[in-house]
Amino acid sequence: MDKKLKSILLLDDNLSTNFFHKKIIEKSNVADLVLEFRSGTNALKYLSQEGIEQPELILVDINMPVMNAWVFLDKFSKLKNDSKIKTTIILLSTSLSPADKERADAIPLIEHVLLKPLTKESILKVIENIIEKKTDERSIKI
Amino acid sequence: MAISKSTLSDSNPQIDNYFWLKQLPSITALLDKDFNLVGVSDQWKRKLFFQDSEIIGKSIFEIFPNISEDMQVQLNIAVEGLKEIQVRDEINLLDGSIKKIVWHLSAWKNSSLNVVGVMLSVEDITIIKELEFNLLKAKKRLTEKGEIAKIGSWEYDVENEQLTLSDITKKIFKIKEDSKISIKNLIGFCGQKDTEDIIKNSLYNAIEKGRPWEVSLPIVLGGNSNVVKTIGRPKFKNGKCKRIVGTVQILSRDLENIIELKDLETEHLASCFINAPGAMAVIEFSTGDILDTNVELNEAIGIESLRLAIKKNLKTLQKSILKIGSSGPASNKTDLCSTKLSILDTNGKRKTFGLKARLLNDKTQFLCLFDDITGQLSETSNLKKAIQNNDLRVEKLVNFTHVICHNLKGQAINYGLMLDYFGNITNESEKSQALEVLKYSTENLSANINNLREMVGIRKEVKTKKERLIINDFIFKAEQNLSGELKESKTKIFNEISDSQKIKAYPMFLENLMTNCISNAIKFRKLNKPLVISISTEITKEYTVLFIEDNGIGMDLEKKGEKLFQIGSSLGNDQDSRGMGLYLAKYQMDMMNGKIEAESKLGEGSVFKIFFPHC
Repeated sequence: MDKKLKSILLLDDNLSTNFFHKKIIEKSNVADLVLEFRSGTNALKYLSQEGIEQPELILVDINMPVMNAWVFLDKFSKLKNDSKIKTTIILLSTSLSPADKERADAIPLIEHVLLKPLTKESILKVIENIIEKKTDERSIKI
Repeated sequence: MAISKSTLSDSNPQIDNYFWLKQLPSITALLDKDFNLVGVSDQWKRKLFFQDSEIIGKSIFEIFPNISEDMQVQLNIAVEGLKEIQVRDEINLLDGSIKKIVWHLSAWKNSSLNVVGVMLSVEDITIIKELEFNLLKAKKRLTEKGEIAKIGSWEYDVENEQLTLSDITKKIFKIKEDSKISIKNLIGFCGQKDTEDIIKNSLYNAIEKGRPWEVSLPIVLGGNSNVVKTIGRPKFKNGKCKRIVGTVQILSRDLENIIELKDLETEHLASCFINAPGAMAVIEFSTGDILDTNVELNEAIGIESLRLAIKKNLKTLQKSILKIGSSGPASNKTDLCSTKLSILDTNGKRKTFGLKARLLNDKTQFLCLFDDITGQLSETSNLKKAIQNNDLRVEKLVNFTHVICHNLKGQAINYGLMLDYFGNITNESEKSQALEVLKYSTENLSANINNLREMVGIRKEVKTKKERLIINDFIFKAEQNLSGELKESKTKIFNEISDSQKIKAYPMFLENLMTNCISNAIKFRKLNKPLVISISTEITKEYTVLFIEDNGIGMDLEKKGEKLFQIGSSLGNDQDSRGMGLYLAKYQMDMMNGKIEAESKLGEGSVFKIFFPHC
């Protein structure tokens, strides 16, 4: 029960990548709901709706036409939401350039950067970390 | 207006000019505005073997039938009021000899400063140059060895022909303090024909051409042979020489050194300078006056434009010359300075000359060597441009390669994912879904590789020549390429271009451009109404402009304008665009020295303008 997230959002302009990443997450059985979007605009549209429960994890491809990950995150951080859920952001990249790494390190919102493709192992590790953090926070509250 | 002899009365100030003209120590003539001779100096008759009756009133062209074309041009310029024009020429004399000369032309103005004709004098090149060289050499020797005696000063009022001598000067020449002396007396002092000629020449050159002098002359004073160094500087007011101020000093020297000056070496040197295969000039350091030039310089630059250029840049020149290290032997490079000068050459073309200078004669003058480096400079700037262009190309290629690699890598990763997935598939519906995705991926990869091939094709295409192509042939080709999409989207194309209109382009490119632009319009059409594309042209001075207008969804260029023609920056929303089409279009237009622009408003369609240069 504790090993599952409520929802994960995938953002990648490539249809196939999204498809297979979704399949991997579903097969790993780590989330109740996997959303996929191919443009930042559409993802933001969805996220800014009233009464939407914020995803606990967002996986964003760095290089996207029209709106890249940086612009998306900037806009995402400005979204008004009264949700209690803390969203973890992971960046995805085919080729991890040092410049991107540096930029990502400078943004506190970003947990870290993963190389494509996602694998069962890598996604499990990410989920594990998130759940660990959650339990830590709970124990502090107690 | 020609001046006939009968109009020259006593009241006419020009009559004075006549007496003065007759006595001039130079070969000088006055011409009226139609270039007929009005008067000549005695020297003119003596040296050129003419009688008054033969020449007065006759046209200069009649007297010298072989006068050079350049001279004819320059005469007309002189009548416009210009001074100090020099023209190199050869004249045939009555005794059958041919003389190499320099014509000196100046506008001849009356007292109210209106041009009434041309003052023309003849300089026999070889003799004068030789003399000057002799003196230059003499002076050097004298300054090296001579003991400096007292220096006296003098001043000559040109208009009133008044000579004023300082006390020391009077002492030097052993003249009683209260006696007045004319310039003629002074010239008579020298007692030597050569010396007299030099003084007369120097005076004339100072008054007429503004040339300062500095000469050393043998002189006999009280039975002793001496050498006198005299310097003269003409002072001008309103373009006329009013005064000459100068100094004299006795250099205690024996005469024999002076006689030595007439050795062969100096003659040799003089002709070396004059005939040197590089443009050279001797210039006065403090004033920038041009004292001497050689044949090459006169042909390459011309004295007039050199004078202008030197005057304009005198301060800079002096500065760079002053930087010359004064130490070290003459052979050392340190006493040379080099700089650049922009000069109009003899054909009126602006050229850049490299200039090397070396100080001479106690640093009062410098010798300049001029080297035309215009060609080198333009070659250098062409090279710079070429390098810049190549840098841009390299940047483009790196950018392009990066995007391609990124895209292809993404595809490769997808295939990896897919194979993993296939291993785990259990039911049919999942399998068919995966196959759909596989198909999509493969199409995408093919499109990418096609674009890549097109880019490679671009490089090949550019090696051939642009052709004049009928535009409509290529619109038809594009319609064929896109027939499926056009049918499916029910697009209407209104083509306003006549079947005969042509533009210059590479066939491959034109087809691509038309295909890309039309397919772009289809991609970004409004889904709720039929797409209409209209194609038209407009001809401007430089370009034939092709307009491709649609009624699609348009775009916000404020936000996305800079990205529009970049690689990998598709503006699509969840569309299958790879952001290559417009990048390619721009790339191809760049290659053809054209350009591509877009105008659009969100929701109101777009216009793409493609500029094809006429050549």
